Amino acid sequence: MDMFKYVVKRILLAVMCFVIITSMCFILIRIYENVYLASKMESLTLAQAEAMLARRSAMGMDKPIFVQLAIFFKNMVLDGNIGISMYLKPNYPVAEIIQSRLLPTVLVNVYSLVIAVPLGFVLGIYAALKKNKWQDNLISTAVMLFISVPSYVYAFLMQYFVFSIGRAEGMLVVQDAVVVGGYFNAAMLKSQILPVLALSFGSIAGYARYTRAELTESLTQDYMLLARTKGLKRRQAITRHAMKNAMVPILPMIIGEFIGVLGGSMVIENIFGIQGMGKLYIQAYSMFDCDVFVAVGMFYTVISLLAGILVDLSYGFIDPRIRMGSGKNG
Amino acid sequence: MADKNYVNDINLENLTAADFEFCQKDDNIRDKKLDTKPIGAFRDAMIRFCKNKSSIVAAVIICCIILFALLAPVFSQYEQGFKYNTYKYMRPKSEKFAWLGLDGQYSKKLSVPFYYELNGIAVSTIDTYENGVREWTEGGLAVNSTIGNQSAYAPIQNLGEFYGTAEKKTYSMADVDCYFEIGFKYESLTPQKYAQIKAFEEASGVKVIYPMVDLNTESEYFEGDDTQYTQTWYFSYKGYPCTSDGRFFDVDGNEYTYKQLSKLDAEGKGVTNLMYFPNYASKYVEAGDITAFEEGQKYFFEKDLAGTMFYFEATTFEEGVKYYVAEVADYISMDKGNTYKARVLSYTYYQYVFWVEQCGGQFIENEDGTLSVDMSGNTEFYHVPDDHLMGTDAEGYDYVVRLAQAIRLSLLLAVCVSLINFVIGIVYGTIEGYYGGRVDLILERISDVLAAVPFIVVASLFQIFLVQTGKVNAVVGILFAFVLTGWIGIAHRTRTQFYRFKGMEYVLASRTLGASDLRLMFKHILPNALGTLITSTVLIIPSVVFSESTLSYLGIVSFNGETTSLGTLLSKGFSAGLTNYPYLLIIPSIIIALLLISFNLFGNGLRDAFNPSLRGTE
Repeated sequence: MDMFKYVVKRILLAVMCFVIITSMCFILIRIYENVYLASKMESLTLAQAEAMLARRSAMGMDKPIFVQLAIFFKNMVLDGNIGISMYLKPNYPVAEIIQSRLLPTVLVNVYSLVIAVPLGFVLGIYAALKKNKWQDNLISTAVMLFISVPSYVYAFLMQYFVFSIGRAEGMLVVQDAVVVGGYFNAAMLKSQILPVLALSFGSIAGYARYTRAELTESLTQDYMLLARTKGLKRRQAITRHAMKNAMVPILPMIIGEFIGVLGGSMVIENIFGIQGMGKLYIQAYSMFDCDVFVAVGMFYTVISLLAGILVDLSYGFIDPRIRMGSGKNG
Repeated sequence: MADKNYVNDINLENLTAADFEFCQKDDNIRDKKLDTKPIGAFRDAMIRFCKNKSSIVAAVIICCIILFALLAPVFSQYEQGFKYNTYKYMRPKSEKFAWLGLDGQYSKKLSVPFYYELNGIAVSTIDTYENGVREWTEGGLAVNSTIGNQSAYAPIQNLGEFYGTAEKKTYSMADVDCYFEIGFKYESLTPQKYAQIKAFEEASGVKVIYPMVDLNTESEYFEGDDTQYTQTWYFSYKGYPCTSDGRFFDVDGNEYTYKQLSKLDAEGKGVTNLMYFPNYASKYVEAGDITAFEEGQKYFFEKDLAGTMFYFEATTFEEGVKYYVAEVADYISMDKGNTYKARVLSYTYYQYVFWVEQCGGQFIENEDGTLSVDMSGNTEFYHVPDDHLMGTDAEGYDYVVRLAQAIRLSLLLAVCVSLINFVIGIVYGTIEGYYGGRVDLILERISDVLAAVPFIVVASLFQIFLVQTGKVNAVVGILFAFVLTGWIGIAHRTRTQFYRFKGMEYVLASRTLGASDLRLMFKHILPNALGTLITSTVLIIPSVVFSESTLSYLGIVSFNGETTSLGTLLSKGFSAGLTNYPYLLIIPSIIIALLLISFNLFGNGLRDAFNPSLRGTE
């Protein structure tokens, strides 16, 4: 019951955060919209300006700012309507635009996660088992390098490499799903290789470092000694005791990453021309499409809040000690 | 070693009482000072940090990069704001480092017309007649590249064999020097500047201004009516090429002078008689001055009003009417004589610009109104324009200077952000942690909300509200964005440390002695946390460098003009094209990567050094 209370409390807090941030963002953007419009009006003909004003009043953008905010939240809660695009894809519901941009981002990021998690684990475990031997030193050095270098550097280097060995055909930018016909075919997958790799290197290193740190710690614990004295072989002791305990902080991290996948990496999307969320944000920013901007901002806020909650809660689900602990102490 | 041997030497098994002596028995050591210096927490951390090899290497790399950023503009011959618009995307070239392959050349596939054009640049810069070269073919140009090779400004350095013969589209691979490849260009000069260049030419012997182009000669290679085309001047009168001083020679070596006349009528309009006419500049003469021309002979006339050309012919001259004399000349007078349109060689024009703008070249006015070079000042005319160790960027700035500037800005921003975050975070975290209770609850909620705002949204909003409306410049805008949420991590750490230490006995003891809250906070509790806080402050630096480069790469923050950052360089390098100019992308990438790696290693070293649980384990 206390666990339930805790969950409810966390969710309520998150909702509060979300409402505050969204309101701030909405109000600021709508205020600036007036300034922006005034500067834009100068370059319009009379008919265009009238049409623009009519359109704005039809969208309720000439009402007082707090009324607009109330309408915005009402629409969001009742119809799931989070605004209408002004310039990017005129008169299109923002929710639909976001929907259409999600898949490309998620695909690339999920592929990279699928590669990075097992590889990172294996490397981390290997390094932990060979602690302070040359294998560990090699892996740790590589991890240090790969974790520090930003992903766009890999992207550039790989693009250049692929180009200079003359295999650039269909690999430098991610294909348009409409052109190649769907997200799951050879041309698409081929074009996704580079962005997926560029995203993976850093995460592999991150997982490896984390796994190594956790596993080396649990390997030196007393329960490992006990397990060996009970007669377990080293392999058994490691897989049954050390690994299980090391997983406790690692799994929540992966859960957080899975949520983070939705957000994706803006730079990688930009470099490889992926029509995803990051690109949408940049477009909304540069064209000043205020509803899209607010909506994407909201989207990123939700992701970060959700990831935080899930990570915290999953600790309790994965580790019975933490769950019981919270039960006793309240 | 010595001690060890000593222990081995004596017989440890049969020690007698005589072997021992008191080191201190009756001495009173109460008031004696310690022989060794006490080692404080920071000194200990310093000692242990110095034992960490990778951190030391990282610190050295950081120092090298900072030194480069500080010293490169000092030692460079280019000042920070200097740029030469014509030399954009020039390749690295340096006399001192030519052995590294930095010769400004690149391999290019040349078609024959293009080869003519490039070779033409070289041919145009030498006096072909004086050099004994008269093999003119194909409209005044020899395919033979040896003519061009006599020029000091030859774009083609190594020419391979031509291959493929279908429809004249013959190609050859060639190494082309990009600094010479640009060749000639039109430059609008004020009469003052024109006079300056002439004076410069005279003093230095470097030829900057070359005769104007005959745009009306038809060529089978250059099609279309490109009046801006500057490189084709060697197509000339009756197929005879013009020498660089404007004379013509036929194949037998007969010299031709080429003078033209024109007349202005009452309305300022000319009689229309369109002829092929060299697009040469003209100057006013009175009718009386043209007696040298024979009466009754056909002359070609040209009118120039506000840069518009008309051509007509006349056979007689009238008294009192103004005429033009058109001759092979250095410029076309435009805008009623206020602007001269001259054809300059990019390379030597750069020498002039550099001498005036960077070497502080001065001119003095002679008694007759002409200009000459002030020889008392800097007379080092022969500056090599093509000495760019890393080439030039998209705007014509020297890339070394640009890179140093970018590193400075990025690092300065990062250091400022980390210092400000350090201060705000400590104050906020101290208040949270020390007072606890309701204060803590409220402050925590505030930082929760701030922490949930996506950084990119914050940065964009700051740019929209502060920078685009012109309230602050882009650097301050991005600084605000970093500071708004950046201190939360530090505050959180401080708070944790306070919760750990504030209940300890020594704090209680101090409080009973009457220490104030401020003294307890900053004198007694905070120093315990300082180690971790310094570490996380240092680790803010790489994250700021990374975020800044991301933001300016994405175009959310845009530095323009003379300010530049590593991300801006990256983004410009990307738009320059990975295939053509990979180094413009790879150099800033490597610098960013190096900075991030070194700062992370450095920070990790600090963390280990400050971690008391690791003390004595090495």
